[in-house]
Amino acid sequence: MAFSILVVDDNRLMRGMVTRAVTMSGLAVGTLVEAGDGVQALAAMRREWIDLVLLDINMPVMDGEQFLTRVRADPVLSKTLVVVVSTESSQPRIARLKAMGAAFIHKPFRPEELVAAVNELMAGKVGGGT
Amino acid sequence: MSDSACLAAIAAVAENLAFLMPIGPGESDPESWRVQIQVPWVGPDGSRGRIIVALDQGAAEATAANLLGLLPGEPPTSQDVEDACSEMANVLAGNLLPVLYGLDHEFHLNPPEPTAAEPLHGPRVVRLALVEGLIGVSIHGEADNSRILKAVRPVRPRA
Repeated sequence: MAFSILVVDDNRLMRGMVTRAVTMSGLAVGTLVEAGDGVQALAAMRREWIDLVLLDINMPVMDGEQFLTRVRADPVLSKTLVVVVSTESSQPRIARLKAMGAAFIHKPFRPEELVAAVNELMAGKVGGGT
Repeated sequence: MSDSACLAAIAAVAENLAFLMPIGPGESDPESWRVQIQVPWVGPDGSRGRIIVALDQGAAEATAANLLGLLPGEPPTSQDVEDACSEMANVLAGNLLPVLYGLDHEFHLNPPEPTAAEPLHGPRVVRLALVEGLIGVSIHGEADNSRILKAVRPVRPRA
């Protein structure tokens, strides 16, 4: 299975870094789409099919947590795999994100951590939100 | 929390995010910083603060070049340097707050803001010398306020 991947981060350099990590990770990548905030990301997901979202949390306009809440409430998008890629360290917030069915990796991260997070999602080991 | 714990967190981010090579504590500010970025934060019980990250020319340009994957001799643009250092500041702030206050509380980071470069000052200033240059971090906040510390680190009754 080749993943259609959406990279959501307000910093264009970080989007580039995450994209490079994805291509180095060994994941089968179909299309790669980028968005700079949650609103742009939702628009992208309504425009084209996305299998996997790599999501920053601290963003202007609509942050990652708000975006994830909207995705899980949308009947069409709710099953999308989401990996949060963030500097976030607050355990209550991370627990909340995981409860919404997201995997979590901490910035800075290594490509193999990304693969592990995706595998965790595919195996259904994360959260209970979906 | 000791300066050495902060320094270790800064070194880990510099190394793992931007592939920089830490040497050890830096003694003083350089003649001038190339970039200075502040990241305001809001924490528990209304606590507020900001983390200011400064990079000298070598550290700033190496950060941009490494984040962008530029080839040797390919100089980053000013915008690249600002964007790269903003992300460095964002990640540093996200990694320093739990070192300072623990993992049990939520902090909201505002977007990084470039500021005028000036000598670092404040209640805590930590500098990391790198092969590439120097990173300085100035930590401002309400951490010395006992009301905030009580909110951040609740006192547990003895058994």
